[in-house]
Amino acid sequence: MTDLSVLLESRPRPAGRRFALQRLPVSAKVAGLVLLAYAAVAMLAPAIAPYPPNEIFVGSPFEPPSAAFLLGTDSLGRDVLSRTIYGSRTILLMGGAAAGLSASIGGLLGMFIGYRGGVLDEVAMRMLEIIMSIPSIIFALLIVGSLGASAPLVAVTVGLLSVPNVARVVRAATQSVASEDFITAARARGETSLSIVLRELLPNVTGTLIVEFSIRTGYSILFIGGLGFLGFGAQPPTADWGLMVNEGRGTIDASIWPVAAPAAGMAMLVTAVNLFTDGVNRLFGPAEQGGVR
Amino acid sequence: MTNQTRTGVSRRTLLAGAAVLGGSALFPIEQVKAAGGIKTLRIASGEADGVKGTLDPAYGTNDPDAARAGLVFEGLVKLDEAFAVQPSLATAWKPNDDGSVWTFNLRPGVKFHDGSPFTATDVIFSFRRLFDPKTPSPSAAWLAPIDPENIKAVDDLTVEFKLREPVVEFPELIYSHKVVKAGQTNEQVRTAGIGTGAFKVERFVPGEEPSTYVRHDQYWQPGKPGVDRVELRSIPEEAARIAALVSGQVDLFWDLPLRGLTRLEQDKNIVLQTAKTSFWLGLAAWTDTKPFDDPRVRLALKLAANRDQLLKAVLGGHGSVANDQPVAPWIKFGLPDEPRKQDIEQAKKLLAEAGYPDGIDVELYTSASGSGLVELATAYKAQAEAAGIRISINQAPAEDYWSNIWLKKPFIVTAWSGKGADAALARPFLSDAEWNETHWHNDAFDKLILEARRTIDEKKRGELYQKAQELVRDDGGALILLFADAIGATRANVRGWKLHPQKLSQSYVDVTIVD
Repeated sequence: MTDLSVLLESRPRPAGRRFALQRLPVSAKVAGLVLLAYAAVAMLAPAIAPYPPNEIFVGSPFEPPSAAFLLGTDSLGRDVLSRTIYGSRTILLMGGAAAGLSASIGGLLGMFIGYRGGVLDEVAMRMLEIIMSIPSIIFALLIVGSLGASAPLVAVTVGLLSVPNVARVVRAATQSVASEDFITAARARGETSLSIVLRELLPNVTGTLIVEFSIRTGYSILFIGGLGFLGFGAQPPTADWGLMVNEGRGTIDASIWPVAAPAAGMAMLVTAVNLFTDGVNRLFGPAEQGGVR
Repeated sequence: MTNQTRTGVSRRTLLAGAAVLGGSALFPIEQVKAAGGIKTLRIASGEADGVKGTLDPAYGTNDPDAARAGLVFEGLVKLDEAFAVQPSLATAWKPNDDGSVWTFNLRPGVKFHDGSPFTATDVIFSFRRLFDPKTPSPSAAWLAPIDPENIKAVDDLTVEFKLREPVVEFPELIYSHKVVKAGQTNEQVRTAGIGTGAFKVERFVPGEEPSTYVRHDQYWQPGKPGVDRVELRSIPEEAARIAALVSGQVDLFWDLPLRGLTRLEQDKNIVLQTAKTSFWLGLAAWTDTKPFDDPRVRLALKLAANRDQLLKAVLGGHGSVANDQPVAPWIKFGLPDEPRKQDIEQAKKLLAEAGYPDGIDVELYTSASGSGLVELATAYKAQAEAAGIRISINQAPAEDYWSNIWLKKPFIVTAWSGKGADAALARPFLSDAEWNETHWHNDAFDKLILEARRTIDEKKRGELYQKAQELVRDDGGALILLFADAIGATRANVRGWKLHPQKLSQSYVDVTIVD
């Protein structure tokens, strides 16, 4: 189905087509602003966080929100606001790294097998499908559980787990372009496969890649948050939203803020990413692209 | 497994209720309330044992087993809050010169649930059955000094144990072993055992909830017990257990988590009870592994902790600070000294003297396998940083922490349940102890413990145990930081119950319920 839809769209996109911001729907524009705000908070964290995120007993345990602690304190007397602010760094970095990894590796892989086709394509696709058929949360727990949890490992694991999904979509987009005359021409000029993939195909699947990167970002953030909650993400005392929810849930009777703040932060971030993705998708992708998620 | 059992029970109850009682059996709790005049105490246990459950004190392994046995049976002696033994079915006891022969005087006038008198024969029967080679009790191993053939009745109310080897704390060794009426088969004891306890079994079917008990009218303490009936059920899920208490479906339970009690603290229908225990939380470092092999480093680690702050952060204030040795001051023979204060400068100095002027980098393992263990690691890391002790925390999976991390990694968060002085010192710290989690080998310490075990004189024995505590405190590889309280809760109309710090030693004899 995907293949067909991509096929219908099979016209070479002019290389270097500009990202037309003003054509985005309003919801995506708002979401984009929210994302920019998140990025700003993450970058400026040391400047805007009122306290060091891991310093214990800046207040008493479980203080309610007040002028001194806008979101209260957690069980160790740490400032929830500061931890939530710093947590945006962890999640954006890890989510972005994971999505970037899956988009770049998956993109290259997809373009390559889409362009080469034939037996390589068949074998590679079946292998990717096998990987996709394994529940990703179990896969991730297996890897992280046996190698030991650490933030970089989690990001890499989550990124690699999305490689097959990206590769499939990009392959389909590539196939529709691969039979075009300009590719034949490039081949006739004697260009290598790698050069064709990077110089001729890449500009024509950029839109698909951007959409995929966007989709994978939202997915990775949720996934990493989930792993953190299960205790398989960043290690304490890292200000990680998933970990914060886990640490705070046992004492939710005493104070809801240590749980509510990171949970709300994550909910808003994922919603924004998804709305933005939607808009970008409408701009670039074939209408059915969303179905591949 | 528990869930399956519980589902099975409700289905069975449903069928029985529909067929026999027209559905009224579906609501056992309401039913009892309606029966006017009868006062029922409803107890919830935090563990469940399903179809493996037993009443038999010789084979019980977990909380509900102990609770059942505690209602129906009594031991010769019982433990008080300082983990010292007090009279129960025995009124007095004395050893011979070296502690190899112990004579117990039994309480006269005690009646079993069937009205027959309690005598020395029952004591002998109860201890011999533990060693039956066909059905040995799990506790037979640590009761090895008892020679079952050499327990004899001097007269009807005097029993003599001739031991295989001297044991100076023999009453402490047998406190948890209860007396059952002589002549019962194991199957009888398991579900309908006859004992001397304040309550007799009304109905106990393993795997069915609740089990019920009624007042023993001929109980030896006049006017006791204070309630007519007891219902015991298991509610393993913490939130469900708390909800059952708040909504008035149970009256009492003895094991609350130490954190997140706010809701109960604010409920005026609930009374929380706290008991000091010697359950300790701390860190254990291998004393044969760098950098912990230098005693100055170990002392620096101990000095880096701000214990008062840890108490607030880790236990929400529900406990006491400890002083790097495992016998709490309120436990018999406990060293009554002031816990160490944080001293960052001294810690830095000690590290420098030990050859680490720039501090040390160590990896600390922890897990959510116990309440407060992760918080302890997190808070200690923050405190120790100032002294140049840079810790990276590794949170391991909770399920296999005690099998894969504990005893296998050089620096871990650990916790030990409360014990009497000898066990608290010997089990983790004797050189050849199976659970020597700090790899600490100290001949002087070993000698003190072994000598204490041969010293009949209590005062001298106490001094030896206290010297041993000093060695652990100053040289050992364990940072024993906190003693956690036990927390229990009752409905406000339950009176006369005192939470016992040893969770298996709860007594309900004095409990009454007011309207």
